[in-house]
Amino acid sequence: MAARGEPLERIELLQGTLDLIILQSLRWGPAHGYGLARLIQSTTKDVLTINTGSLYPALQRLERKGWIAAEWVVSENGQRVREYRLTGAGREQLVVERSKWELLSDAMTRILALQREGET
Amino acid sequence: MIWPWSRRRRERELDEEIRAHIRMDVEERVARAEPRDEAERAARREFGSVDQVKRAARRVWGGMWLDRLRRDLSFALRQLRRSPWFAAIALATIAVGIGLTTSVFSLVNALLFRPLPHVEAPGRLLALYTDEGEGPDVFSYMDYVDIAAESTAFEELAAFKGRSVDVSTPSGTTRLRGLMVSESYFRTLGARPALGRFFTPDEDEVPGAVAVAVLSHALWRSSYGGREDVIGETITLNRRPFVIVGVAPEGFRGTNVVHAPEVFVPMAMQPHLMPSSGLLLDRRGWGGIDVLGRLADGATTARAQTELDVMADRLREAYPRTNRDRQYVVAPFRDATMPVGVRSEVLGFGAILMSLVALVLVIACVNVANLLLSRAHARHREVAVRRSLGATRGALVRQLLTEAGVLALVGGALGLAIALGMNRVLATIPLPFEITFAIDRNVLLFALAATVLTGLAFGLAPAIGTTRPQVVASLREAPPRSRRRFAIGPSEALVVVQVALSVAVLAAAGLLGRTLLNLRLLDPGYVSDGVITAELDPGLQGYTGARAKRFYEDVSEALRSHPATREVALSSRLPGPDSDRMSIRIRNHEPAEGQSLYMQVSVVSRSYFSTLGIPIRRGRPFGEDDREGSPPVLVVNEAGAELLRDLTGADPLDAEISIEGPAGPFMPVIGVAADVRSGPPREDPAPHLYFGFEQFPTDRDFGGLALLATGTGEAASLGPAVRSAVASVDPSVPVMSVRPLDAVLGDGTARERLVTTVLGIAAGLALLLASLGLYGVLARAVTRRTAEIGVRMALGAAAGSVLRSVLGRGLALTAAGLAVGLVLAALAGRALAALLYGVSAGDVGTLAGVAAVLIAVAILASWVPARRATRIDPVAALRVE
Repeated sequence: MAARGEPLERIELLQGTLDLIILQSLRWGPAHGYGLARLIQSTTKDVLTINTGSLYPALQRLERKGWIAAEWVVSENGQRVREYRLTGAGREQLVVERSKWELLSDAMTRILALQREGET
Repeated sequence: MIWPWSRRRRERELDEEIRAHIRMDVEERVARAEPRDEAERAARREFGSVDQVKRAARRVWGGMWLDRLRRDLSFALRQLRRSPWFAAIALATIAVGIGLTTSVFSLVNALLFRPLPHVEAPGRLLALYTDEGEGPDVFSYMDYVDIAAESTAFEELAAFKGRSVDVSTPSGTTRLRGLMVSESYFRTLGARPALGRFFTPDEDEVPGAVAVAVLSHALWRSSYGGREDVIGETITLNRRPFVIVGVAPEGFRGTNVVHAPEVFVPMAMQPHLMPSSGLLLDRRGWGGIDVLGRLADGATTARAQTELDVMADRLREAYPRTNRDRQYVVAPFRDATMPVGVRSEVLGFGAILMSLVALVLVIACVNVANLLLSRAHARHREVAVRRSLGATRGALVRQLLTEAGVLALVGGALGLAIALGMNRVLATIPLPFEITFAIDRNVLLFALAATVLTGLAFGLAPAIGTTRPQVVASLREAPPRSRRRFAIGPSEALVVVQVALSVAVLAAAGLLGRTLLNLRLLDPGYVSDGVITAELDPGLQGYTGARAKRFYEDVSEALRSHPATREVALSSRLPGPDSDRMSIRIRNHEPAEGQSLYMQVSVVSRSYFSTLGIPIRRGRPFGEDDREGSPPVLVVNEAGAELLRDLTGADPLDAEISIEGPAGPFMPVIGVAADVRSGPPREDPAPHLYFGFEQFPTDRDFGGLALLATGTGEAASLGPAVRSAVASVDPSVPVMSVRPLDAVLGDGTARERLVTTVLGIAAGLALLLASLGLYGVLARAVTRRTAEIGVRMALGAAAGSVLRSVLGRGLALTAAGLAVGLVLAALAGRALAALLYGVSAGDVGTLAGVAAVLIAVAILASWVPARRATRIDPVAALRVE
C-alpha cells in the first residue's frame, strides 16, 4: 500500500477513525490544530501519533461537512491561532460515529476471540 | 466547490495555521530546554512535508472537480494509449466527419453568414426593392431620389450600381469592377475612409460634372504602392481623368459577398461609365439601381414598409405611366449581398448540402459509438470490478464520457486540419464568383459545437449502457452472450442506421452526378469546340457610331487575315448564362391588355451562324446584300418561330417584328436558325431574335461586342492572335476575358460541379464509414461466437455453411438498411429536385446503382470476418471457455 508521499491514501484508510478521534477530542472544548495533536498524543499515551499530513486535511474536511467550525483567536501566549469547535451537527455525528465504532470494535473483538479459540 | 477568491484566502489561512503549529512546537521544546535551532529543526521534521499537507487540504476543498477532471483525463489518455488502434481509427473517423461538415459549413458561411467588413450595425440596414408583381427587383433611380428626400423612417438611404470600367495606366489598360454610388453610400454603411475622404453631396449633383473617385484599399496598394500622397492625383477611367479623393478601408467590399468593387465613383458619373446608355438618371422607367436604407432611431421595419407604401401611392399618382404597378418592398440587408432573389436560393441549397454532409457526421458518430460499445463490452469486467470497489455509477459514466470527450476534442482538432485541406481542394473548382473558404470565428464555433455534440452523441449511449446496475452481476459471469444465434443488439441497429444514411447520401451524389453528366452531354446547338471568345468595348475608349462599327470591322478583318484563324464572327452576347430580353411587337397581333411580349435579342455578324455551326432550318441567313441602308431583316430561332406561329397562326417566315418601341418599324423574318442554348444549360431555349451587325445603323451606339473565332488548332492557341489583331487596330482598347467558348459555357455548371464534388466526397466517406461499421460489427460477432462456431464445426458443419451464415448476416443488415435508406433517398432526392436535370428524384437506375454498390461493398466488408469464421480451430475455440 501507499508509503510516504501519498497521504491521501492514508487519510482514506484512517478516515473514519481520525474523524471520530477529532470529534471526540473537541467534546471537551475548542482547540487548535497543534493542541489537538498534543491532546490526542497524550491521552493515548503516545500510542496514536497523529500525522499532521492527515490532521489538517481532516480538519478541512470536517469543517466542509459542517461538523466543526473554526475561528481565529489569540491564544494565552499571544499566538494567533485557528481554533476549532464542535457544532451541533458535529455532536450528532459524534454519536453516530461512536455507535458505528462500538459495533465494529465489538465485532472485531468477537472475531479475534473466535480466532483465538481456533488457534488453540 | 470553492471559488478562487475564497480559495486564495484559504491558502493564506492554512499557511498561517501551519506556521503557528510549528512555532508552538518550537516554544514547547525550548521551554523543555532544547536549544532553539535544534528545536526548530525537530519541529519541522515532526510536522513533515508542508507541501503535502497543503496538497491534501486543497484536494479536500475544491480540488473536487478540477482535480477529478485531471485524474479522469490522465486515465482516459492512458486508456487510449493502451489501445492505439482503437484510438487511431476512432480519431480518424471523427476527424473525417468533422472535417467534411466544417469544410462545407465554411463554404455556406462564406456565402451567407460571414459579416461584411466595415458595415456598421447591419441589423439596422434594409435592402429596398421595387415589386411590379413579379417579385423583388432593382430600383429606379428617380424613385430612389424622391423616397430619400422624404423618408423619415430611414435615417439614410443609399443607391449604387456596379459597372466595369477601363482603367488606363502607362503600362496599359485593364478592366476593373467599378461601383457608382450615391454620396450617402459610405455613410449609410458606416464605413470610414482609410485615407482622404468619401464623396460630398455636390460631387453627386450634376450628371457627368465632377470626376472624382475613391480607390479600394487593394487597388491603392497594388497600383499606387500604398502611397499616402495619392490623394489629389488622377486615375484614368474610361479615358477621363478622375481625381482621387479617398481610399476605402482595407477589406471593404460594399455589400457584395462575391465580388469586391475596386473603384468607386459618384452616381452622377453614370453617363460616363455607361456611355452607350446615355443619361439614365432622369428616366423613371429605368430600373437597375440597388438601394439600401438605414433605419432611423426607433423606426421599425414595419414602419419603413408603411411609409414606402404611402410613397408608392403618391408616386403612382404623380407618374401613372411608369409607376402604375410599382410597389416597394424591404428585405433584410443580407438579401442585398447577392443579386435579387439569389440569396434565398443559396440558403436553400446550403441547407440541403449541410444536411447531407451532416448525415456523414452521424454515420461517423455511429461508428465511434460502435467502437466504444465493443470496447465497453470488452471492459465490462473492469467496470464491474470498479463498481464493486465502490466507484459510483456517476463516476464511471463521467470517466467514460471523459474518454469520449478526449476523442471528440482531438478528433475535432484533426477535423479542422482536414477541413483546411478540403477547402483547398474546393477552391480549385473555378466558380463564377470569388469567395474565400476562410476558417473564421463562425466556422470555429461551428466545429466546436459539432465536436461537443459528436462527443455526447457517441459517448453517452455506451457510457450509460455499460454502467447499467445489473452489469455488476456480470463480475461472476463471462461476457453476456446472446441467447439467440445473433441478437439484434444496439450495434446491429446502429449499422442498419448507417447503411440507411449512406444510401441517402450516395443517392443524392448519384443524382447530382447524373445531372452534371446530362448537362455536359447536352447538345448546345452549336460547335463550341475550338472557338475562342474575347470581349471588346471600344465605347469606353470613346468610339461611337460609325467609328465603333468601323473598329469592329477592322479587328475582324485583321483577325481573319491571321494564318491560324478560319472564321471570325461578332455577337452582342455570348451563349451562356445571360438573359436580357427586349419587348417586341408583331405586326397584325394585338397582345392581351397589359401584356407585353419579350424576346432575347442579339446583334450578330453575317458569319455568326457558320462560325458556330448553327444550322439554318428554314429561309436564309443574313447575306451580302443585308447591309446598312438595305431594308432591315431578322432571323429567329426555332423557339422564336414556334412563338410566332402560336401568336399569329401563320408561317413565321411571313411574320414582321418591331423591336424599337411603339413607333419602331416592322422588320420581316427571313430565316429560322436552330435553337441554341443561351440561358442556363438546364433551361429550355428561349425565343431569340437575331439582328444583323452589318445592318446596324451607324447613328446608334453599340455596347460591347464579343469576338468569336475558330482556327485550325486548339481554341486557346488563338488567344495571342486575337490580342494582336485588336492591338493592330487600337492598342488602347482592352481585350477582356479571352477564353475558349467551352470555358464560358463551363461556368454555367459551376454550381452543379461544386455540389457534385462535395457530395461525391461525402458519399465516398459515407460508404467507407458504413462498410467499416458493418465490418466491425460482424468481426465482433464472429469473435463472440467463436465457441459456438467451434462447436458447430466440431460437429461437422461445413466451412461453406459457416461462411454463408456470416455473409448472410451482413447482407441481412445491409438489406434492412437499404430498405430504410431507399425511403430516405427518395426524400433527399425530393429536396434536391431543384438542382436536378434530366433525371427524376426517384430515378430507378440511380437507386438500383446505389443498391448494387452498397451490396457489393457489404459483401466485401462481410467477407473478411466470414473467412475468419471458417478458419476457427474447433479445439482452440472450445478451450477458450
